[in-house]
Amino acid sequence: MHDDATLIERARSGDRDAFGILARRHFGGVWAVAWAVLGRRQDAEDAAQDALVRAWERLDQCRDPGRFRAWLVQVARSVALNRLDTRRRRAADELPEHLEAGGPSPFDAAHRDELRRRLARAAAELTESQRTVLLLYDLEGWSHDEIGAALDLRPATSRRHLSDARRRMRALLEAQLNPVSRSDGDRP
Amino acid sequence: MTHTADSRPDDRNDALDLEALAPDPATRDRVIAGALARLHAPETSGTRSDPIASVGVLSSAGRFAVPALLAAAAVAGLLLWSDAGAGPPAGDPSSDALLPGAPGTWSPWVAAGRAPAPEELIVLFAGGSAP
Repeated sequence: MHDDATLIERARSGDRDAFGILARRHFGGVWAVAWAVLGRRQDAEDAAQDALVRAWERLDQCRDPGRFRAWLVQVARSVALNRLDTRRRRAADELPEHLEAGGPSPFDAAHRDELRRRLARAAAELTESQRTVLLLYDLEGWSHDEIGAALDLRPATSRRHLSDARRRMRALLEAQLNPVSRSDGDRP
Repeated sequence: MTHTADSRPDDRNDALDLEALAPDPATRDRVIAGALARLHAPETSGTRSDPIASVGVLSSAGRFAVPALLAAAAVAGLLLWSDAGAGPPAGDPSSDALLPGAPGTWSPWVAAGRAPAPEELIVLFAGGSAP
């Protein structure tokens, strides 16, 4: 198993297979930020693919191979934000957040789809920063230092986003299960 | 999961189960395969010798007397760029337009040990960037 630095060096020499290994290894972070920004799974897929292509084209700009995944996530977030900006300009009347649960997938069990819908609905109520931190930390296992480096946040801010996001998510998920007890109104 | 100095134990213990939001393997593979299919050679910053950055485009109005030049190019290991290395384009080979080439593709003519006829030559690149 080659480390990132070795694979980056090979990729810089034109080795697509080496870049493919890097892409697979760090795809979770790319996906997480793309989805956190864009919400729609199809958009997140497109953005993730664009981000990988851009990263390949700009590998020389990754100064520290030891922080490759933070750099890659920066690239992915930039791509996703640009895509979101384009989407907003095209549909100015859309809501600021566009998270959707995604349609039924033949690859997923029904309960997974339902759980995904519930999580996505709750995550839509978070800020984009909260969503990104939450996904990178709880889903991808990143540290606050890494998240801070990738998102240009202080680790303490990352920690606060995580805490706020979890608290909000738990309240929203609880409200989904017990709609009568919702205290934040009946927003769709 | 990686625990680092900035991770408080309760941070991890209190984690939400977000696994359902992760991309399924089919999505991951589709995205990566799509990206890899789109890759071109990474940008380089003059790391290769570049004695002749771009010799030029042959046009019907100004074809080179190429045999000697091609022989020199072949000896020097220079690259010939063609439309993906598949030979002359189906269209007008004397077009002034730069045709897309596959970076690093050796011309089939060089591989075959012969020089292309002037009308076959699209653009001769000497180790420079793709057009």
